[in-house]
Amino acid sequence: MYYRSSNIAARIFDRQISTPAPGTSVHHARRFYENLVPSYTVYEVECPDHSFRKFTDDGQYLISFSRNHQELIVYRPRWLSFSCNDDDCDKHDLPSKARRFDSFFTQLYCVSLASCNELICKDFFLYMDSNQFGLFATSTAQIHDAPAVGGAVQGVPSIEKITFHLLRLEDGEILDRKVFSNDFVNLTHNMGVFLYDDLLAIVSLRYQTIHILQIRDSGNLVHVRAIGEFCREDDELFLNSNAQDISSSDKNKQHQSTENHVENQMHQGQPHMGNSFLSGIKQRLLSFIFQGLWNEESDDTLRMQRLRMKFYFHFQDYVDLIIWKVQFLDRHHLLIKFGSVDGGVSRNADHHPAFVAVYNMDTTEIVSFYQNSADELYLLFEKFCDHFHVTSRNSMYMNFVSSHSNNIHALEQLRSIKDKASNSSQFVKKMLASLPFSCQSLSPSPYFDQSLFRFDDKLISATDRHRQSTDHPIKFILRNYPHSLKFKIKPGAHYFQAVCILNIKMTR
Amino acid sequence: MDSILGNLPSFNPQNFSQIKPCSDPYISTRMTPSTYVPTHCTLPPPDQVIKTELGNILPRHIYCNVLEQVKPNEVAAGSVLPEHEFKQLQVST
Repeated sequence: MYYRSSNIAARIFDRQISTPAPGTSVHHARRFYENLVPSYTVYEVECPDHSFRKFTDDGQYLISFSRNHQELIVYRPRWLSFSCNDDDCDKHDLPSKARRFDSFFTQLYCVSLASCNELICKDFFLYMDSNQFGLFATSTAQIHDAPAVGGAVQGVPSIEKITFHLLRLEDGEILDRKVFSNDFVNLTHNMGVFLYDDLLAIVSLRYQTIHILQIRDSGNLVHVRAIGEFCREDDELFLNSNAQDISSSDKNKQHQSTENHVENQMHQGQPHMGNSFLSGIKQRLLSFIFQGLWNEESDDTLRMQRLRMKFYFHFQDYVDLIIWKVQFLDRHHLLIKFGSVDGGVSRNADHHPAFVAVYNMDTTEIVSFYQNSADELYLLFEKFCDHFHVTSRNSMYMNFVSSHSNNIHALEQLRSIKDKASNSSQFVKKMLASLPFSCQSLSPSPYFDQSLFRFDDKLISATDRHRQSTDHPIKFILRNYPHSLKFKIKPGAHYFQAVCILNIKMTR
Repeated sequence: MDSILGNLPSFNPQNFSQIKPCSDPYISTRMTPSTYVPTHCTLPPPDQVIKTELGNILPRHIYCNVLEQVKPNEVAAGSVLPEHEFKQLQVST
């Protein structure tokens, strides 16, 4: 077996004379991060009083919001450099300019996004790195006990105005806006919005519609289709052309509610057909379940028994399902999570029953339908976790995020959790609760690469979510020889103003 | 010893002269690799084009799973096959 030195100079020489195995050049290059680790922390740096959100994945911008949540401030990271020629550089202190915030970041601009009664949703930000566009959201206050008018779902809160702002991050120019009125989109941690390449899916929980928009290179947000009340583009035309026949039978029922609904209906651009029909997506779902059960039995009597037990008995439960969350699987398929109204609006929906469906946008058909404890879905999740995390074709670095499908150490962790689980069904439910995945929720940092470093994923991980701060330092230990502690991060309130600097250490 | 490495430049010209051929006839120092002879034509089809599939492999597997479930349960008569009926605009009278 060929011995590879962990010394960075030796690795650079080795890179000059040897070629990595086919298909491993990126993995080979990422191993240099074993040598390039954070090794210095600067404390008590005076920072502007902003709410810092995150760095863009390409490292070009630092996104922050003003404390009053009305302005967006974007910084360009400068990455201060420092060199030392002495024999023992570790004992040298950094220069005084290293303690200044503006040594590391240059403010590019400050843009006001929210008007008087609106606030920027600080948990929401999506980045389109091909064009360096950023998507932000502002909203007015939530109304929790809003009446269910105009086809709205009872129990889902309402927000008077939700605005999505598309900005060119290079200069802060607002390119386009999309407004949703008297609606509800779950903006926390990007849950209600999914960006894939140039396609944007926005889930209106209140009106149970998946709005598909396209972000053009010019910066325009173009509405492509709306999936919910209708599935095909001409469904509305077809139903309207038959409205005369329908309205004559439901005339009495509709007349009472028409006057109240007109204004809200036009706002949404979807004429509400009263309570005569279930929505298009719901009908697709019910048809799929019915067909599946019908085809399972050849005997008519057994078939009817099966339908009675598994379809008609639960019919109202299926009808009451609402769309919780959506993600793209590719440009043609959506992964849709269905559940109860209570689960859709609660913070923790793990205890609520849920279903997952794959929907083909082109054929408008449900391809498959699983319960959230289905072993079949779990097998797909275990084997193809990477492919659930769909990445833009322009973001090659996202293809190297560790998961249990591409990393033996992550797989061992998963199997360890599986072996310790007392109830297999509960384990599957817990694992599948993360589906559909939230958009841009994983950090591509090589320091989270489980083939390079070992760390406690209860304290820190690539997933962008809040964790409880701990007094213990978070250690990053080398996976490969010599399995040494490379660096540690010390969280805690008194370190909130710390800035880490990279330092190249000459290791053996 | 007549080594195939004998005439190549080396740090010490005596390096490979120390190798002694093994006298055991069962252990040969010159191993001739066996040649694989295919019994069928291994040439690719003339119109073959190899390219990376841009689509996500996950929907493909989902469709494969669906087909596997549908095939054994298919019944010639009585199965509800998804037929796409084209909508016809009704002319009101």
